[in-house]
Amino acid sequence: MADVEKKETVIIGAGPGGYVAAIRASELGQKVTLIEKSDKLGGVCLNVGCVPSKALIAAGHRFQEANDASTYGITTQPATIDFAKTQDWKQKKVVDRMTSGVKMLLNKHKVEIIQGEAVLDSDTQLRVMPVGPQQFMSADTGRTIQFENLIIASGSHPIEIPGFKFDGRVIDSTGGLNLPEIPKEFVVIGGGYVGTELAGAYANLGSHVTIIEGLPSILAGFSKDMVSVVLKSLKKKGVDIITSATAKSSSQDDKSVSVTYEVDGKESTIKADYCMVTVGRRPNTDDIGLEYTKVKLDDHGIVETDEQGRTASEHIFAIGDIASGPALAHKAFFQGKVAAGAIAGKNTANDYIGVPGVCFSDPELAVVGLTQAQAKDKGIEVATAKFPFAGNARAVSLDDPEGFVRLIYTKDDQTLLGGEVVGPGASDLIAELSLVVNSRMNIEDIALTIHPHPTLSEPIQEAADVGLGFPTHI
Amino acid sequence: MAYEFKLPEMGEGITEGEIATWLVKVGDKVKEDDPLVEIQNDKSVQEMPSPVAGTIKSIEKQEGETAEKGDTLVIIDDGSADTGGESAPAAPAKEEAAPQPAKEEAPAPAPAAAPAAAVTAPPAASNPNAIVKAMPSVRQYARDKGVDITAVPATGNHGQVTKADIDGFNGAAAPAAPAASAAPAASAATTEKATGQAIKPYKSDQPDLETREPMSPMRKIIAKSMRTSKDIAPHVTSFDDVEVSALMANRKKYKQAAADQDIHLTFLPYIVKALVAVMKKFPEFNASIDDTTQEIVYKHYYNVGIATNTDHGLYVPNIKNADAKGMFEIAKEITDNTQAAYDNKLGPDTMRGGSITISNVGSIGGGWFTPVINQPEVAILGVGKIAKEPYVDPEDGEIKVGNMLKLSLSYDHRLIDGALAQNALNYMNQLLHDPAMLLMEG
Repeated sequence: MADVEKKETVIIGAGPGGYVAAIRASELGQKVTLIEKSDKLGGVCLNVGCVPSKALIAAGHRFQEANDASTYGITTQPATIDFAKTQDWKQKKVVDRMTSGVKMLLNKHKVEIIQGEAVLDSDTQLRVMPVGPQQFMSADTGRTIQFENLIIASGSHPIEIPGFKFDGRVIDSTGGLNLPEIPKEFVVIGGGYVGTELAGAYANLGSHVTIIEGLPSILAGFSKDMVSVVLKSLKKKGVDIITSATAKSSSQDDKSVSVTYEVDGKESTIKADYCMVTVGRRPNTDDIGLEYTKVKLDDHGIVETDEQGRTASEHIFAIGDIASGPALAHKAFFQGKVAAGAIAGKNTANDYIGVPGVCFSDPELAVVGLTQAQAKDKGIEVATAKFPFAGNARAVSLDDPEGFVRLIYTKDDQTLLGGEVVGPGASDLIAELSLVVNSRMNIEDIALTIHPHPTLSEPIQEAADVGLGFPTHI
Repeated sequence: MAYEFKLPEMGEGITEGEIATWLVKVGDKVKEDDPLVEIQNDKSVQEMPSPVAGTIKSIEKQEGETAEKGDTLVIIDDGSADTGGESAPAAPAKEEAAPQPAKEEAPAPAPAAAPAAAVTAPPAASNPNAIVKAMPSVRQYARDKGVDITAVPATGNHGQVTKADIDGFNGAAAPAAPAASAAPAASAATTEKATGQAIKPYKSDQPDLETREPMSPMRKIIAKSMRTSKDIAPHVTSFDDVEVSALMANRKKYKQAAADQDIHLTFLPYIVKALVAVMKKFPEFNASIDDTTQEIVYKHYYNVGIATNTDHGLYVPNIKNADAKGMFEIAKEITDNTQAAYDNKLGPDTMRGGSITISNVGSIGGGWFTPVINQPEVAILGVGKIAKEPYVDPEDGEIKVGNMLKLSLSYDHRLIDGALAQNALNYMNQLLHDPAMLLMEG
């Protein structure tokens, strides 16, 4: 048995939850050790998730604009794209820059970083195993670490479905972000956030994209009228959307992959260069030795915690995709800070009221708090007010007037419970609504706040005016 | 095919309770309105009747567990279709449904037979309607101060809880709604931390010579209430004794008449009546303070509480509208309440909306003591034993053997000053010394 090393606060996983927890714990005076199995810091989000996908989406937009600026009286030659250069930019100038930034920050906060796979032995001890297949695994393999406090931020991984093993031309989202070329035919199974975002990006880059979705609509979580704005734009890009479909099987050779799916009992097959499967993620709680601790999981593999993220084992916390709440980086950031604060004896709590969710489709969708339907389900009487971007000077001058802002608020005292934005800049605009929702402010507070003109933020104020019965530009 | 019986709201502000006793077990058949379970909350035990007829399928909360409003307590097979709502099937999201599961790779349950979203949103809060309006920084501030923000009355615009509300609350706790609604429940609802004191562990050098037992829920409630009361109200206690030979004679005279009606006449009804008279003359003793508005709430009813000690805890049922009741009626009600307390059958209403409280230790021999005010009332009368003592009769200046009753009046100095309290106590003495006066004024 190897020597036992004693550490104060140990964090498993250097994704958004883990590295933020590490920084905060260090700021609060803890000696922090961060264990990450990858040689890159930043987790899925920075390396193979939110950040690189935004880079590809941006490239897709530039390519589109370069090819069609006739609205503005600009004539261009058909633009060409060197996708290898795009990928190189995405990796070196975006991903590497962000991940090295994380490393710099961790160093600055004197966080010890250990590379390896952490497996718990007990409620107070874990082992860090070398990554990859080991020839001689024994009791001595790896380092044994005793911790006073532990934050588990082990993240999640893409779900595989039968008939579509991730291999070759059947890829997960990571593969979808790192394609060596722009596919001519691209099939996306699962029209959730990621599927829809990348479908749009590759369509902008020139692919013919088919989305195969099991439910009657893509982006099923969003309100119908929001989704219809995106559907219109996807159709304009030539994206085929097959809904209520079941993906059955795939077969591939070195040139293409054939995807067979079924709708209403009728099977069809599409041939494509690549088939990306994005049907959800599963928490990484199976292989980290939780069975040797008091930590409890629910039926979905999510760790049960209290309001501070503390598990059934008093000194072990869980945050991010393995903890309750949506599997989003910004929720993990928050939970990481709360857990670090709890360890430092502070009265932190995950008492957020709404977690914003964003889909970087064309146009963007963003939500926070409750939808009208959710409020109804909870028995809360709500009213809604909507303002279209068509009535906004900035949106019109950007030639991007599709979409709207909707406010969902209590009928009796107009407390904002939820916000929905579909349209230009939705991903940024939702921040204001998140502040209002989480502060329990009301639509009068919005209406009485001056919003700059001419900007995309105005429809929020205008929607509040609509709700108060004094609309101006509608 | 089951009905999920959920803990309903149990009256003003009470949203949780401990499962005291299950009156049914799995497999039992129940009819509608058959008692299912006894729930213990703040100061009472309530029986929950079954809303449906059927067979007990499973019991979801065990005895000793705490349930919150909305928690499923028992599942009853009533032969109907599933109700209870919570059993949302994992897979296909409805239209207009939650964008919440929101992960970068969203649930959009797969084609193929892929399992639905692996990562799900947290369950909805148990009481989604309880919207506490407060900025995140104010919520943090409340946590730091150990204040349960859900109990803080809001003064901000549109019902926002402000930082000042938290500050005000810490020293003042819960006289939320004016008048009747508050009562002991309110002080119990205030968190233990509301006193602003850090909770320290008990440490000892010789733990092997000590044993530890968990506090019973009732003990916890009493501890909280007492702590809260001492924290809220600056207590002052005035002591006095009063010669009650005439009162004893009066009681002796009517004891049999009472017994003929199956009524046990003690000294307590006299004291209840005397307190009613005191409250009529000195309305400050029948009041509460609303700290959030800095108002004094004067009560126009006379509900006199009587602290009742049982082996499962301390209860304060009150005699409602004591001013409108006769001595025998009060005596009977005291006996009934005491029995109900012993049987754990006191309804919460019996303990709400008190004016003032009597704490009687005299029956077991105590003298003077310093009783703790039953929040949100402002005074409590401690009644000690009647002792034979030398006594100078003010009429003739002779030393006689007097029957001296020991009285200890604790009052909230925020509202009641020393002189006022002494005047009230003097008046009390007069009434108890001369029960004929009581007939005039009570």
